[in-house]
Amino acid sequence: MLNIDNLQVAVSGNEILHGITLHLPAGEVHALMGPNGSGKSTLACALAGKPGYQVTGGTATFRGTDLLAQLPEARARAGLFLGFQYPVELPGVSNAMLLKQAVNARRRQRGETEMDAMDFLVAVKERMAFMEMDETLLERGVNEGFSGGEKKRNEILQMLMLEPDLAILDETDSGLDIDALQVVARGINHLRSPSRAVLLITHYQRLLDHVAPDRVHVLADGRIVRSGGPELAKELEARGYGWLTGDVAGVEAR
Amino acid sequence: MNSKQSVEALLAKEYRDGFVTPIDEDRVPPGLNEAVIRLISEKKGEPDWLLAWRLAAFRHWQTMVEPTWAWVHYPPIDYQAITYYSAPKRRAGTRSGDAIDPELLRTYDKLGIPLAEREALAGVAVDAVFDSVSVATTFKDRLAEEGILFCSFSEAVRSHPELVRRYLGSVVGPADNFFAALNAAVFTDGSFCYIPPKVRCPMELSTYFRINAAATGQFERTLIIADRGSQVSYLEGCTAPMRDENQLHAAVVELIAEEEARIKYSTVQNWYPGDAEGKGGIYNFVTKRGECRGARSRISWTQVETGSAITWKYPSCILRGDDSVGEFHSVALTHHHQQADTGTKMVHLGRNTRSTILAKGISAGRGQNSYRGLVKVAKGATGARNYSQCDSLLIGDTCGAHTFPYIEVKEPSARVEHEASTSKIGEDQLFYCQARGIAPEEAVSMLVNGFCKEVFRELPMEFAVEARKLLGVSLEDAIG
Amino acid sequence: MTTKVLNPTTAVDHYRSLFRARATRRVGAEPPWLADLRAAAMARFAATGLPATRDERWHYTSLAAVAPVAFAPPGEQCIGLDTGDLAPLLMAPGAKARLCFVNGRLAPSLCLAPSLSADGIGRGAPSPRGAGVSPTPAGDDPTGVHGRPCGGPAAPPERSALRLAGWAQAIERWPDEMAHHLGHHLGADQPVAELNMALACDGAVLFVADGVDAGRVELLFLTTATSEPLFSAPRNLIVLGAGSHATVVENHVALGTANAFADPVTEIDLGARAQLDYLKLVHEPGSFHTATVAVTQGCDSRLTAHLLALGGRLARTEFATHLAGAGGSAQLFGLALAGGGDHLDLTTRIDHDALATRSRELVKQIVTGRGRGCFSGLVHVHPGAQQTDARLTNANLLLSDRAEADTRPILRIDADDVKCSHGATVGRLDDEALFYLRARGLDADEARQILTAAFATEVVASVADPTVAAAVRARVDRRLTELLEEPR
Repeated sequence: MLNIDNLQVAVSGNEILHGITLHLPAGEVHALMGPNGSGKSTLACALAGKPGYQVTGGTATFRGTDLLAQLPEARARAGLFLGFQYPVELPGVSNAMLLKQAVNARRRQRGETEMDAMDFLVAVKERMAFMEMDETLLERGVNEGFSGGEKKRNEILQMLMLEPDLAILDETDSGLDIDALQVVARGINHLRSPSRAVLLITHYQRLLDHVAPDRVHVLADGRIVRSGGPELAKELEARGYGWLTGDVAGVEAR
Repeated sequence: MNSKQSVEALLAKEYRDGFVTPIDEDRVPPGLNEAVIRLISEKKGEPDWLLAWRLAAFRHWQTMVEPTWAWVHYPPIDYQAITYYSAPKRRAGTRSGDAIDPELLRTYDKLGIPLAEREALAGVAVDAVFDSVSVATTFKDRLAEEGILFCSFSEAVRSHPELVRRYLGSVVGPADNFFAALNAAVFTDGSFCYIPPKVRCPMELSTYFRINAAATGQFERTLIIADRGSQVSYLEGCTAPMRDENQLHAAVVELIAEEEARIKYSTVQNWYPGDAEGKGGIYNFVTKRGECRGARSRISWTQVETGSAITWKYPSCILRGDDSVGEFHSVALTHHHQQADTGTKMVHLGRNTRSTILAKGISAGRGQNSYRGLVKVAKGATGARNYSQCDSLLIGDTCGAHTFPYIEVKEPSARVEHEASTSKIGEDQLFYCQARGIAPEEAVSMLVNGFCKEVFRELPMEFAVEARKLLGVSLEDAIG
Repeated sequence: MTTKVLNPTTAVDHYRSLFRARATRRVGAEPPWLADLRAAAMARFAATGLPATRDERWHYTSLAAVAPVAFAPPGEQCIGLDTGDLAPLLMAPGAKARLCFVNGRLAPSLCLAPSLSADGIGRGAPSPRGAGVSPTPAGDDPTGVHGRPCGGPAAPPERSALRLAGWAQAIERWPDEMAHHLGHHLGADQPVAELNMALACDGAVLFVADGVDAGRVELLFLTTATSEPLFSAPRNLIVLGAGSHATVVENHVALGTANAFADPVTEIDLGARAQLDYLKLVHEPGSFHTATVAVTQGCDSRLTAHLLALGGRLARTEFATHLAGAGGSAQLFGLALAGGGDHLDLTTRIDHDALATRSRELVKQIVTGRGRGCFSGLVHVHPGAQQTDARLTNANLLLSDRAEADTRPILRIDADDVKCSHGATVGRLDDEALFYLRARGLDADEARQILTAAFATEVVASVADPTVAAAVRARVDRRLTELLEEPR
């Protein structure tokens, strides 16, 4: 699904990622963990094509096509979804309108007919109920005046509507109370399928108690320093990141 | 005693520096014409090019009209009734450099600015301007060791004519505005400062302006040049005797910051504000402007304006160099019948230029306080940023607080933000403080200082202390 | 197109000659008090001429291009439009009452008036608040609006629920009220309003009786493309009695690109507790437009005003409301969409001049092409106007390298127990927001369009009347689409 090889990324001329290699096959959920400033969000932004993130070396392919050559919107339409760590507020742009445009952009890409207003409304309301979201949020501006928890649920709602092949969720768990965390986890688990892949970027173990990862990678100083099974996350929880930061032996993640 | 009375008591303090120095003056007769300008130029032994420059300014000035857009009101000024040159007479046999008149030394001692170097404020070099001339400049030799030129303007014309000629009028042209043109025609002295490349000035430089003579205007001109990579912090203070008539002060300050140079210019302006009935006081009509000529240069203006009957000044920055930075921090206080129309202009020409404006206005009594500012972003000034904040504090219901920001943007990648707010010192706040055992005078002082603290933070230490004291004195009796 | 070019210094002479020509024709047709008003206004205009940029209120807008052109009122005109043609232009479709002016002259065949009777409109018993007046189908006897011959017998004083008439009829029927209001809501030193008073020949007059809900009224000012430079000076008066309600839409629109100079004035008087939703829209490509709107607000009255400018070679609206009665409140919304070579200027003034008055103002400008958007907003708290609560917000969006936005949010405060603030921003679309939308699969142009429309939404969504709101939304969206298709 996603193959990243020796990816190097710079922001404002400073190299942040010094060669990331990570292979995420369909059907799997990988967790990318690491201390603050290790480059987790940089990787997410670079994969989604955020302007200002310059790829200085390496490759990234998504379902066999070169991801890095595409515009951000083309990546999204091809089925890549980025759940933002800090979703922006878009005053005046209604949530419903954005969702509908986004869903139809993806459907057009796949050669499907656009969703009509009624089907759309039914689909979105069903998913909002699933995410325990207040329906009035639909007519509000995107994230405008939303609480932290509402913003994160809204990201997952968008994901459920867009049904991406690959979801990269950047610290979607941060700032959530336990109830909201469970709802968000339910949304992610709902998306899991043999044809999809998820990259969970997180600082803490606690989301992984609810969404069991197949593999765990640890990022430090712009390099993946350790990869392992779910037990690695437990170990990190117990021992922190300190013991790994010296361990920069270019371990290949798989 | 209720809070009203206590604030009155607080505001009742007298202007501290209102005494007159008894000294013989060499003065030209009142009036303004080419003969007077030639006389001033001759007294100062100026080269021909400077006289020609003055005369051209004067001829242009005669075609100009006094600006009326400011929110200040005053009777017409009779420019022919003003004396344009008045200097303390030198005793026979004294030369410049030695033996300053003891009367003048006493004057500056009384103002807290000792001119004898052994007593002088550590780390501050002072150029003392008395009416139309500079009477002393301290620490010149120490500064010369670093290659820094710091002297009176007249001396600079004599000893460094090439520098003066190159930079004079290059930021504030002789026809820039009515008062700047008047200054260009008749300026008598002022301070000159040049910091060579890469030199970080080892002490604060300062000019202390004193108006002493009656019916005399003060027209000084300050020129500061910070060459590539140099740094300087400059302070300016001013006082005048208490007189019933209004006196005109029309100064020009030009700053030039070359590549990576930094200039910090701080003013505590305490000209005589007039009495409680609005009689007398200085008209302070000043043009101050700095140009960030080189890339990554920075000019920072900080002003505390507590004096003058009328203040009309807009210390500004022309941000020409890429990545240059302009700052303006201001506290302006008007009490009794004082009027202030002050602010800044930030003109963004270079790429990624940044400016910050922080203006605090305090109005009490019948004071009228206006912030007036321009933020202009020229086409091509990509990535320019400005943030402005203007806050007004009203004490009593007979004063006025006004905000006139102008924002003009021709560059889509620029980002400009402006915020303004108004608040008052309320009876409830004073009562709250009283209930906590704080006297109303103290409470007013606390609240006002709190209101201004972001600006005071920008002042050099000695000035910050001075500024806080001045605010306290100026606000005596404000709650009434 | 034949355009006579005047020496700039003779602009005053030109308008004075129009005034004299008109005065000759008007002899005997207008009451002496009105002739005096006009003469005084002409004298004041002649003393100053057209405003210059040294006048602070005209700092950003120069009339140098207006001065040399010999704009003149149209001669006899053939309208050639019927009510069906109006449909796409209307901002208050389904309004109970509508007056339509073509090139400054009332076009009776395009009007729609309530409660018509043989000799006038709006007769009948005062109706209780909320009862309104019955709408009349389009095409009813148009002479009912304006058709009375001049010099006919004066009608007895009327005290109808809603009286709507063209200028000439209003002067004739309600001279005392007209004399009472005309010119009294305007401030001093307004040369373009003086010019209007001197030369006004038509306009809409609306009186709403105490406690009456007048519903929606649309005043439509159409400019048609003409071969001669066209001058018009509509003069409107809207008077709301105590506790009455109305929604008034003043819609200035040009069919095609017109070579016109429109100088409209609208005076509005709100009685105690009256509530007015007022919307003024101008979209006159190629034309000059210098409007003055002046409101006086009584105790506890509520004004909501929308000032929308969608295009014009030079379109300036100077809006002032005087909160003269305690407890009055004003909400102002402004929206300017400037593209091509549009120069749009919104100058507003809110005078807080009584206890406990409140104002909110939100102005947005979107500028692209070689357009220029200029906003000046003054909030003045007068001495003694304690407990004033005022907030002014202005945001400007620059979409092209050649666009310019200017803004001056001015506060003048002469009382201390006040809550006043303003904020202004200038910038382009937020990069973060653009990326967010692209990450959801929208292409860059779509994302820009959505965010630009969203920028205008706050103003558009604040229109209370759903019919008017829908019309505004459609007009704004259409114009935005045009602007975004222009080369940047």
